[in-house]
Amino acid sequence: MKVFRLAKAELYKLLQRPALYIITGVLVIALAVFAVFYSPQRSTSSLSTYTGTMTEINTQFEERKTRFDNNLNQKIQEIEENYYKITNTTPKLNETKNNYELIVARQNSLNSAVIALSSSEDLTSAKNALTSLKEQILTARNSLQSLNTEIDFYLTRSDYDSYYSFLDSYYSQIPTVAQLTNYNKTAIISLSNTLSTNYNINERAEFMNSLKAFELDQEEVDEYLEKFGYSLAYSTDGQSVLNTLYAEITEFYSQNISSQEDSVKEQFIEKLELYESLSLAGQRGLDYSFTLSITSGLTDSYSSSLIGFESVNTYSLKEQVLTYSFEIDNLLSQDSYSRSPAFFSTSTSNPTAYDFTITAMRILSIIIIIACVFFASGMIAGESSQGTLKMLAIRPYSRNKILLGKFIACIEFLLLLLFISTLATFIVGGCMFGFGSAEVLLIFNASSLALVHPICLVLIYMLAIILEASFFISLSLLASTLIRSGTVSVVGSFAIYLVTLLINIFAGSAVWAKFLPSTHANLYGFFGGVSNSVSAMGFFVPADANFFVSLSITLVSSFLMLALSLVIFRKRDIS
Amino acid sequence: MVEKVLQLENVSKSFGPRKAVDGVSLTINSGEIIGFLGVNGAGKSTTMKMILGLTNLDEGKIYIDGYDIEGEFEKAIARVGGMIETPTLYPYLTGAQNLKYFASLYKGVPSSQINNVAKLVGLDARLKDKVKNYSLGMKQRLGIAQALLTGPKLLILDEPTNGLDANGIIEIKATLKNLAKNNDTAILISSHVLSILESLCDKIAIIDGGKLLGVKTLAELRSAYKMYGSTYIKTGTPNLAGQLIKKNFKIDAKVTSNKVLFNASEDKLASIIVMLTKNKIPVYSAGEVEYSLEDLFLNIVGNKAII
Repeated sequence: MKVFRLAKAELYKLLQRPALYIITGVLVIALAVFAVFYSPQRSTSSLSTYTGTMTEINTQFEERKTRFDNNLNQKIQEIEENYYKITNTTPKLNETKNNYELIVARQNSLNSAVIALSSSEDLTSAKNALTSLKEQILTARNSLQSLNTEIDFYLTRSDYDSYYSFLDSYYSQIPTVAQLTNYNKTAIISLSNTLSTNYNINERAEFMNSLKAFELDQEEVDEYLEKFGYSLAYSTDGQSVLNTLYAEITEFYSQNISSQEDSVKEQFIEKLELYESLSLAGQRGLDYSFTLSITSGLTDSYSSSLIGFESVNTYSLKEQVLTYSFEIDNLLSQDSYSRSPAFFSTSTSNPTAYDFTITAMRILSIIIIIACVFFASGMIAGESSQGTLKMLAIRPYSRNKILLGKFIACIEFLLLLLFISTLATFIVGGCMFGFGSAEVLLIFNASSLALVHPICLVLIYMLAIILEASFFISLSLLASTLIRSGTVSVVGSFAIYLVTLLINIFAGSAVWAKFLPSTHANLYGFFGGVSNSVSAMGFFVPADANFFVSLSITLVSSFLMLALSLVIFRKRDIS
Repeated sequence: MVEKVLQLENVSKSFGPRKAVDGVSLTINSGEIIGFLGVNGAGKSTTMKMILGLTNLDEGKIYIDGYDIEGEFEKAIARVGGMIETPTLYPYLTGAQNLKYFASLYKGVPSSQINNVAKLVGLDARLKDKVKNYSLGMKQRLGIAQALLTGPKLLILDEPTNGLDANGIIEIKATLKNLAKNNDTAILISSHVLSILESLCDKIAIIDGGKLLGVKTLAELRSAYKMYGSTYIKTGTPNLAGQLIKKNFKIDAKVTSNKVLFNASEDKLASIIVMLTKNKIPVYSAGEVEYSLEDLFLNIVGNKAII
């Protein structure tokens, strides 16, 4: 293929660029500095520790066990209660709507009474209408207040606050019976006019219509109550996972009660940790499943604005529910298996070359992408300013082939840099921590999971970097064809990448960020690193994320940018 | 056999309201060297850029070896070697690396060709140096070398002798003449040093204001100007001298910037000089006119005359 001959020539030229020495130097220094400072924290261990003899350990456990069991049972009860409340939301909803209708009716009767005043001097009916309106507003306000702390129906905090303050202020503006005795006819008419201009209850009709009861799928709730609750929870009668485990623990204890061996103690502690871990998995599984089922079909930002919820991240919740379910199914303690490593944290106590590689490549990939952006953004604009572009344009290559050849050269350069860096990092990591090969839990797109060899994660991460870099190479080439000046093109592309990087670090999961194609270009978050990420440099997914949506956005936008550059470049005069 | 290597048919190009090239038609045959003449902004570079496919045509057609530069760009351009304005090469590469890069863009250019073309332009000794350390003349040689890499049928050279020393000019001229003679290469060359074109080109194409004024051999150009006279007098006051000559000798005289041109025998010339001296007009020199291309060009462009 002709275009590959051009790409080869372009790559040859690229590899002679003096800037390559700087890039290599920066990569080497970054890796060295990283290797010196790499000391990952254990990200997930929230389990109690046990010390002492077998008897002491057993006593510590027995004390804590009551708490574990109570917590889980309380959570089950809470979900059941919430479920019951939700299925009984309709009366509360009707009450709120009814109160609203009554205020409307009383406001109307006040208006009629005031109109009647024009031909009468009797103030009684108007005063009565005012008093009963005031009473009704109070009823409505108090009823609304009782909704505040519990989950009743979809009610956003801002809507709630707005309606509540409306009622509160309306109520305070109507005089009490005692105050009304001093009002004459003129004062009552003027008061009524002020009230109907300032407090038009009809404007709240839309809000009333928007109130809807929570919808819960009974089967679904039963399913997770069974999975994370009934089948797991310890009770004095009946069979459950924790019952069986406790029986095992008591038996193991009675057999090894006087053992002094560390290995026996370790075995024992492992069982105790499993008990606590499973109990925690049950509690959190119930909690997150309940939130998920109530907010299903809603966007994260809307869910987060509802009363009783805060910062709902559906993707992360799903990922965690999946993990707990995995732990319960396989009777695994949260510390007994590895998870996808996050930045500067690992899920097991000993980091491996794989943890090191993925964390280090998080830094090195930024340098690599900057290098690609630097070269790609100068490929057309820079050569055009220097005048070398016309030396290339008078060769037997169509404009399309020239641009595609340069794109391919950038991709080849990326692959070269990426493979060498990853390999170097892996070797350094191996020398420092050894090439442990414990299987890692890979959760894909918060919908399926598998235990895989850690090399899979490294390979997936490399693919993710390739996709992300391709996106920015297309963007830089587009800038390079659009902008005439080489310097402006390079600086502009570099600035775009830097801004994107900062957005991704500090606001990647923010709702507005999901409308930027660049937020979707980092796909590694979809492979299980999200709920594990604690630091800003960790992996993330966009709000309301889905792997296939993000993949499509990345591929389509890269393709469109490349196509647009082709169209522009084809029609251009080269001076 | 003579073939038409380059054909321009009524080619036009505008930049905004300005018509840079206006209805230019030109044919170059194999083995022919055509000098392209014009002042700055006359349309030389634009025409050459259109031939090389760098600039789109507004009107007309350009064929190279029968292939349309716009319709069959890759086939057409494969037969051309070109150098536009100051040769811009990759400064961070050596001369050899630059040539290697350009050669690798073509199928089947042997690596020995790099040394061959370097020898042709006298660059073989500096081939291993980085281009950023080259003088302008060296860059010029490298620019010509890359145009020769594929043994093209057509060479488009824009100011190829810029920055070359006298020796270099002689070498390059010899190389180009050799290519035209032995390889049947057609060459379109522009230069503002007209004396170079004079001794190199078979024909001169003069472009002014985007219009091609004509394509003529040097002899044709000279004879066209004979009518102004073959004798000259150089003086400080040519207008006054011209009037006196016309009045006293009843002959036609043409006044240029510092010369008076007319037809006269040697005897008559002697009398004219005596007459002028009597009238206190200093005569710096006098004699037979040897029209250089420069004179012709300046006259043609200055007067917008039809050749």
